[in-house]
Amino acid sequence: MKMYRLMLPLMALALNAHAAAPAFDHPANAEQLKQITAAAARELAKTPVLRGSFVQRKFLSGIPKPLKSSGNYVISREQGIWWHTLLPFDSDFILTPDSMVQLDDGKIAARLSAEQQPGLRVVGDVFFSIFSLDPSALAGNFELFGQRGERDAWVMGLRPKSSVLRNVMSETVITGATRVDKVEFWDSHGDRTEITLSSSANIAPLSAEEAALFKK
Amino acid sequence: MSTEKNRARGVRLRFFIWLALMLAVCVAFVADLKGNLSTETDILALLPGAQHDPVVDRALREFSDQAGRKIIFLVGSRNAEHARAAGAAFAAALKAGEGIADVQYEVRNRVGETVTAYQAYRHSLLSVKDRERLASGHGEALYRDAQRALYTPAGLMRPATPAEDPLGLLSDFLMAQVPPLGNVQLDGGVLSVRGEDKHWVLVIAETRDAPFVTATQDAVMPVINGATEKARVMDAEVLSSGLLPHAAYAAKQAHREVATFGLVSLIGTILLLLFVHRSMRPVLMSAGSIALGLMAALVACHWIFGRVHLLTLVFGSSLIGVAADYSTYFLTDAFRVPRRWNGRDAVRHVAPGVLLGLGTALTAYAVLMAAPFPGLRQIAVFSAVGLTVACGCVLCLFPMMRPPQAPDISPRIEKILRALLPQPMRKGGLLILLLIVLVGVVGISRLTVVNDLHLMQATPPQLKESERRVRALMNNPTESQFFLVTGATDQDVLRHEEALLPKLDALQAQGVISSYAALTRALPSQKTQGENATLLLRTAYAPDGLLKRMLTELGYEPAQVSEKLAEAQAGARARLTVQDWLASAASDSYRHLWLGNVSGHFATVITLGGIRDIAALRAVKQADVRLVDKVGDISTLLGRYQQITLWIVMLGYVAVLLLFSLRYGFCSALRVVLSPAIASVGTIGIFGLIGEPLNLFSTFSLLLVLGIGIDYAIFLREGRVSPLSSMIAVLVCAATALLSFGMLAFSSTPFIHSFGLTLLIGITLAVVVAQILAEPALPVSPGEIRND
Repeated sequence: MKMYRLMLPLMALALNAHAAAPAFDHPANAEQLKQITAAAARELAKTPVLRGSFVQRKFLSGIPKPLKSSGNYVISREQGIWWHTLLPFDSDFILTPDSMVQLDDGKIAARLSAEQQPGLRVVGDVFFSIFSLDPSALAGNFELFGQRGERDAWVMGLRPKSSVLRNVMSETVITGATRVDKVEFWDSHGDRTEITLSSSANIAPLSAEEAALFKK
Repeated sequence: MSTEKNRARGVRLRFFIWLALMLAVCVAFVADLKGNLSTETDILALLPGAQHDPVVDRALREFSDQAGRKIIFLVGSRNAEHARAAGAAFAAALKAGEGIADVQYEVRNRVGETVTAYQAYRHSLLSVKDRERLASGHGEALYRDAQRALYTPAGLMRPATPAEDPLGLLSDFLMAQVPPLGNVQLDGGVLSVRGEDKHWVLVIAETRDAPFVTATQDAVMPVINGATEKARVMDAEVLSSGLLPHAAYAAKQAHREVATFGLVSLIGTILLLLFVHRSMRPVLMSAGSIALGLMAALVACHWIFGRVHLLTLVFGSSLIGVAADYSTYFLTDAFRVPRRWNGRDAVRHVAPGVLLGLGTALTAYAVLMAAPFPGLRQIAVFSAVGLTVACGCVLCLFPMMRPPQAPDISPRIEKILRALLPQPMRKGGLLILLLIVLVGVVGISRLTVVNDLHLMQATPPQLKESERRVRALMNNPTESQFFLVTGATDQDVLRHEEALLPKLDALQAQGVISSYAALTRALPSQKTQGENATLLLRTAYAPDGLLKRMLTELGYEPAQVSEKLAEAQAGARARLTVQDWLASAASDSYRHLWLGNVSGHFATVITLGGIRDIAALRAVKQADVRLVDKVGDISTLLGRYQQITLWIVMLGYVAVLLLFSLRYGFCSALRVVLSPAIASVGTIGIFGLIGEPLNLFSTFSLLLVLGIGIDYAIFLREGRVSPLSSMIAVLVCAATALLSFGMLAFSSTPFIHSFGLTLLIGITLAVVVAQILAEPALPVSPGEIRND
């Protein structure tokens, strides 16, 4: 029994390592990555606002079961990211270049401004660049890796240059084809967060309600 | 005749004794200083501490020493990559340089180590917000935050993982500590700012020694300049903010000025003496007496104070002006009995006036010694020793050195001199006196008084501008004012600090300050840790508390849940000590605020950012806590000492008047004393009229106007038997004084300028008034005075 408990995290680590490995085989510069992800970037360029649903699963070391959540997202190139978690409970997370706001039932539950948290802007920038596939913005903070798969498919690896960012995410792997399909973060403890995205056809500009959310 | 013989023997004896003394001075000078004179340039070192408590004073000095060694640089370029590359090259060049202890470019963030350091104590550490939530029964909100961290991207900012910190208490505690940095953002491992259409990266350097030591300036400034050049080549601009560049510039400027002004006044004085005596010997004799005076003064200061201050040197260069007077009085005595003058007789005629002058000067310096200026004490010692030695040289050495006879005076010059000789008071003279007094009265009504730190240093506009831009770009820099907290033990000081923080939070909410940094946010007192632990055991760690619920939600089996809960309950007994904290990565961003044991007391500092209302901060009253506002304190201090100096000046006049009344009788004494007095009033008046503010240093110079101006009056009074030679003496003295002091009016260092300008105007007026007020010549026996 004891042996088994020891084995589990080790196995998880090994699996993680295995999963991450291919993404980091081929170092790439921002230009090369742009070419690799060209198909997705073309699609993204057409749409200033992206909508869709997500499933997030967190595999935490030392914690027996993965933590699963799901909901909808709205990504506006101008305004920011609205991450609307519906399950296991309803919660809004709004990330703009200057702040991070959490809403409970439409009311602000927590708010963090870039002025209070010098690290916030980096995290925000990274998220934006990941979801908007902007390799040149990522090059400032990450060592880049990338590889083309079959047809339009591609995989992209990011390794933070600074120790500060490494505390938040030690490695990131993004896979996609004509859009971003999956984002995986590993942190320095071996915890892994996997976000699977599916996009909706709705590419209309932000509604008034949505726009108001980003102003909170 | 035997008295004549005795006198000659006395002169010879004095000569040899004094010569031996002077040789000793020379030996001491060479042996003691060995040619390398270390100068102190921190003007503040001359001023007394603002606090009367020695513990506070030492704590303050320690903190400001450490803060003074820091220099902030912003390396900026339109291109972010260029800025980063230039910043790295700049930092590397600094790091390789001499005299620099530490360079911070890449942020050294030891989050992992910090979490580990707190790990064992996490059950007695709580952020203010979590403590309030638990204490007021709002644990649900806390639980909700923890859940959000698990299921939403909110968890990304949390430094501790859910496994080690299920309720997020340690993460909250750590995140509440992050110091606010204003506009500064973390970007790819370096701190950066955007502004003025440029990307700037932040480089912080710390010098090994204090910025006011010339050795530091000489070592570090070339390193900074070299690094700046490197960044410039890489298309980047460098801005700086810190004491060192200012101190270095000011010191260089002051040294340069002392050198140029010294040289100009030396050459001017030599030419003047050559013109008056038509011989090189008097020039050499004067120079010799001054040099010996300066050497003795330097040795004395070095012995007594260990280091000679730059300000002392400035005053030293002006001392030349006063010391030269003594030799001038002696040498111009030759004009009293042309061709038949004998240096040995001269002593008899000159000594009373010279000794009276020296006596006045020494009285003034003795008063300065008693005044509570530690810095002026050095100047007083310097001046007193220098003047005494110069005076001794004149009276003991000169008679034996075969001073030359007076040259013939050309008729034209003699005509002018005779016209200048003191006359019974005439209308014209009275009118001039009235005019001076009128200027005084009108001017004084318009006079402004300014005493602040900026008087102390010459700040070139480009440094001032650079400083302003750094402040604007960074938007919320740490201010120079801060709170100092003391306590008898390390726990006392932490508790005192914790008692203050709610008040600061309130002030922050009111917008009085925009931020503060206090180390108890990272290191709560043992008492607070104990309260936290008790609170947790009562609420979240209770048998059916939040922790159990969270562990169950995370999917642990019941046995594991009870095991972990028991672990947490047991862990609540651990307490983080100051020593452990200081030794760990957890204290990285706060260690500089811990001053530790200062003369038996413990002290910490709370730094403040974005102060908008200093009065509201002053209103914070708590035992063992005080607001330290060095810049403000110094201005207040300078102002207070100006008042004291003004009193000393007035006291000086009264003392001199009483002293002279004994010798001359009240009316004559009043005439003597009135000349520097009227000159001073006129000087202040002119300051008022031309809009030059009065400050401590101009007030202090009034003391010298008294000392020097009264010399002229005394000499005209004492020399009534030979008015022509006395007149020559006074005019030559005034000219040399103006050559030495007057030059200082052109200094770009504000306080030297104030000093020079006061003396330039004051001495000029003093000569004029002394001439008007002097009593006419006495009828004397023929032979003593030349009539043809």
